[in-house]
Amino acid sequence: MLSAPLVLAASFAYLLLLFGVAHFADARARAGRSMISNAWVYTLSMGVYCTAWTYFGSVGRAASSGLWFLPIYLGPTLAMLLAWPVLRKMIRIARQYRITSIADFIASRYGKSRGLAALVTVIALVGILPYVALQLKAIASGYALLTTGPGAAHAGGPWWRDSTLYFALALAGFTIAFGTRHLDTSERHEGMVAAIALESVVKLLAFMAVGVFVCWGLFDSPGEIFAQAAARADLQPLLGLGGTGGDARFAGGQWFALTLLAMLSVIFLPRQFQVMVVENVDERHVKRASWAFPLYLLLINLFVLPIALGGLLHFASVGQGGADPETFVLSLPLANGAHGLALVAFIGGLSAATGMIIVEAIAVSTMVSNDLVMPLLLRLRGRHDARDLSGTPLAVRRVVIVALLLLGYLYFRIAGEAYALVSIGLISFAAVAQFAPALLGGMFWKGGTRAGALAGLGAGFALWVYTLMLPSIAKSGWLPTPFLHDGPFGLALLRPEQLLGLTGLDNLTHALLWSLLVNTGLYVAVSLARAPSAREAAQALLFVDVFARTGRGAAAAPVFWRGRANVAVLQQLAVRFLGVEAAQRLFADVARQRGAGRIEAVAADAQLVQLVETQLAGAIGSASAHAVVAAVVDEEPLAPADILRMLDEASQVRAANRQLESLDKLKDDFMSSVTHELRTPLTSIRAFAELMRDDPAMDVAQRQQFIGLIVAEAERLSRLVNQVLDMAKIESGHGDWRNQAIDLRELIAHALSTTREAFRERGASVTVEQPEAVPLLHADRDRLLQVLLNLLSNALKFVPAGHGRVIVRLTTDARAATIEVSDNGPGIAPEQQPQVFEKFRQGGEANNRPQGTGLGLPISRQIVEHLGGRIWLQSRPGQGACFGFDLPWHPEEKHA
Amino acid sequence: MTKHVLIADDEANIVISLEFLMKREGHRVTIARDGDAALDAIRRERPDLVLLDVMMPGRSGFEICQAVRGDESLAAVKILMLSAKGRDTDQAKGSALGADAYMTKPFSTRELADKVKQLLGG
Amino acid sequence: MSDKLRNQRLIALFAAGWLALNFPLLTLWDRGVSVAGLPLLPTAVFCGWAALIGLAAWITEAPGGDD
Repeated sequence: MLSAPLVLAASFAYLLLLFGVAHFADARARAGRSMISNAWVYTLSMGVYCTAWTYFGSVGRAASSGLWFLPIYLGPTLAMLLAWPVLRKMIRIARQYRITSIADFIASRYGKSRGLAALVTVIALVGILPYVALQLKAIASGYALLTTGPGAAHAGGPWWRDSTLYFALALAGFTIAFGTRHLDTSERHEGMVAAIALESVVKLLAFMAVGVFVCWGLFDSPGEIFAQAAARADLQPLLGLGGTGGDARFAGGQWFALTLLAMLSVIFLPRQFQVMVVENVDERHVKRASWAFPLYLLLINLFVLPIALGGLLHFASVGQGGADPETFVLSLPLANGAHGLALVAFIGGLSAATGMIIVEAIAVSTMVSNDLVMPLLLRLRGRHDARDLSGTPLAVRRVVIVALLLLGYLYFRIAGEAYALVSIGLISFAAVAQFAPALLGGMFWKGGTRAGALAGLGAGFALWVYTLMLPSIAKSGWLPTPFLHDGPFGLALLRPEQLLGLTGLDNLTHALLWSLLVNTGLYVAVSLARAPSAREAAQALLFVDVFARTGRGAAAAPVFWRGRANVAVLQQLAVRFLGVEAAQRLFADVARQRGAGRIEAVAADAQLVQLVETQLAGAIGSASAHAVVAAVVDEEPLAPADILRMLDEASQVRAANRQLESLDKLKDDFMSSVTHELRTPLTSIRAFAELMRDDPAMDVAQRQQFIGLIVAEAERLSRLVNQVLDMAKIESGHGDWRNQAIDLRELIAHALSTTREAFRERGASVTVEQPEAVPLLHADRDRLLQVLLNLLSNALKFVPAGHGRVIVRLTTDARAATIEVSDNGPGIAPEQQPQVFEKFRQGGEANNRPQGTGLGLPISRQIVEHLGGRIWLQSRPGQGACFGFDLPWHPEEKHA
Repeated sequence: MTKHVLIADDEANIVISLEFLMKREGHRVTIARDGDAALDAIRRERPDLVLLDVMMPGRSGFEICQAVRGDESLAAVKILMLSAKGRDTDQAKGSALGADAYMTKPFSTRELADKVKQLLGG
Repeated sequence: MSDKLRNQRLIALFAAGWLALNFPLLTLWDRGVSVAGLPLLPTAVFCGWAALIGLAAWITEAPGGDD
């Protein structure tokens, strides 16, 4: 027996410690040195899954049915194996779209539907009440045990004398102080997370301390406990799977159902969603948590069975049969004089309960505020009410927290007596399990629609109420029991625990089966009945494809919104819900990012509207934020075709961008080649001129040489300039083409006479093969001559000196005239052939690259193609090169 | 003491003008007309200064600069890069690779002579 | 290991875990014998549990592509 003041003082001190830790962590976070950005802290924060249920309920369950307490922890272990694929996606989605609760998540996915958000909130609120009641019951019995000894039942009595009520109120106050000091649009509570992590450590250590005490203090070893238990007929079944009530068959279905239920709950309980998704700091922490959290669960469950068996053995042998197994963690130390340990154990249990309540209350109150109350308020007050609402969400949350605890207490009074702790908790599990189809389906299936989610959730919840909630109240005597046994109005088929005549299942499995079956079935069926709306389709894309659209390598995703907005109005909105400071900061940031001097200069485009809406979502939930923004902005409704088009445009824009980039690069290359080519002759000209200027006494021969070189380079330069201009004119379509009737034989003769001197110098011979007469060709004579001269001079550059041979061949047919110029030079290697017609590529050996501009062939190609023809090269190394081109008699008109 | 200057450029006329200029300054001159020949000549002759053109067939001036600077035994060879490209990025690249100086073409003969004197005198 | 491989292994482990910890495989351990002084079933379940955790740790802690 411990004195009540001692217990109270210790409890209070511990809670103050938690509060201090939270305060410290919050201060550190504000200073930018977050304490909780650590995978271990993240893992420990998940330990909030273990509540007073684990502390007291598990032991009680083990004492009556052996290993059946375990599925509740095996389920989460299996769930965490899928953490990396599934949980991480949730976190990414939540981070990307600023989702701060389960209701937000589901509502946002299905088109930012307010109705859906409200439904989810109601389910969460009602569903969580039994769980809260469970905590209160556990603490109440624990406290009673510690202060008045075993066998003291809960005093009951009038409610105003019930200490549990005051405890509930105290917890409410504590929670308010913890989590509603200020509004953080990201809904992060660093202090809370730090405190919860500490709390997880405390409860683990306390429980293990009791375990060690029982195993090696009260008995010699765990082995001895088991040996003794095995020797007793009434305890031996507890070591197997025999199940409850002496039924020797293993109720595999029930085991499976419990595991499945726990697996879903570890994510969908509001407090779990809060710490796993909303409070997550870094996605990569999920990796550590996926094995470390199951490890935590294993450790905290290690001593459950020994403690249970030890308690049964101990109290039976000491003749205190009837000690409530659920309080063995307290009664065993107490009965053996280890008062300190008993107090520690109580603190551990208290820790577990408060942790749960704090996080759960904060999560649920956020949902109620954002998705039930604020929308109602907004609708009542009207959108034109400019009153500052930035303080309202906080006030609403505080009220909700108090209400939640009071309602929990109410459930505790109404239904708490009849049930074991574990059974109460399972009712809550079954409620939140209803979120699974809509939420998981929404993350992986683009076909899920709002109607489907509403139908599934609604039906699932209704069935849950009917098959679990009502019976629990009836069994505690608050509802007439005939409806349980004979069905409502005597309809046996509608008996709540044997619906449609399905017998043979325990009530939990039965309820789970029906509710999930109908939930999933309706979700799928109704979703498929009608195509998703434009908004739903857009959100589906954003959610299901979140990995493709975020993170490394993701392009800026198109914003699915079209309309007109007014910056001033958006500012007003921000001020109204975020407060003046936050709004100013937000818009100043935007102005800075866009390079505008003042925010008024920024255009109110889709991105800005989306940004404001996202920020508001942090304060009032995404459904409300969407409604509020939509009210002040002229939005054009989007059809699914529009969405597709937006996506199309986005990808087209990306493709066009890429093309522009490569063209830009080409242009840069060309420019730098041209400048290089121009500067080279200029360099010689300038250098020679300066040398002559600086040396008046230079001898005449030297001077003459230099002047000669200057002249040659100047010529080269002007040739180059002309060609570049020519090229530019032709390419841009401004070349002036003067067509006339041309006799090709005469043209060839002209070209040869122009180059006769050059051929003679080189020692090369040229022969012409052509028909006697050719038709007249209509083309630009000068340009055509240019091409011929280019090919001839190229041939001349590469033929071997002294015995070069060039052949000019002219042939005609009905379609076109063809001219080929072949030489007996070294030829061109196959890998270089494609580059021959590129600008500034010059073939030949590096050492004796002949003087040329590198533009001759490209220009020739342009000319020939303008005349409707084609130019080509045939060559094999060592066998000379043959350039040819054809000129159609009737080319297609080519537009400049 | 007469210094040995290596001129590495593939443009014949530029080589002529540089050769004249360097001889006027009293230096001994050798010539290389492409990248590989230039690198060979540097390694063989260990000139005091190399007038290195960037755009050469075979190895580019940048590659040669890198190779020379990567060789401890050639640390005493000064490198003056000449290029028709005058963009800041190219100059920075040259300095980064270890060139002692960088001049754009067309250059002023006086400036070039001064720079050469600076590199060889100091 | 790459993310894809990691995910596939985790899913496989998940499936294996479900099978191992449920009817009927679970009932294989339900014999009233003792091993090292401890009853078989609870010991087997806890050991299997620990093995699952160990394998999960090995899969997730291996360095690899973080997307």
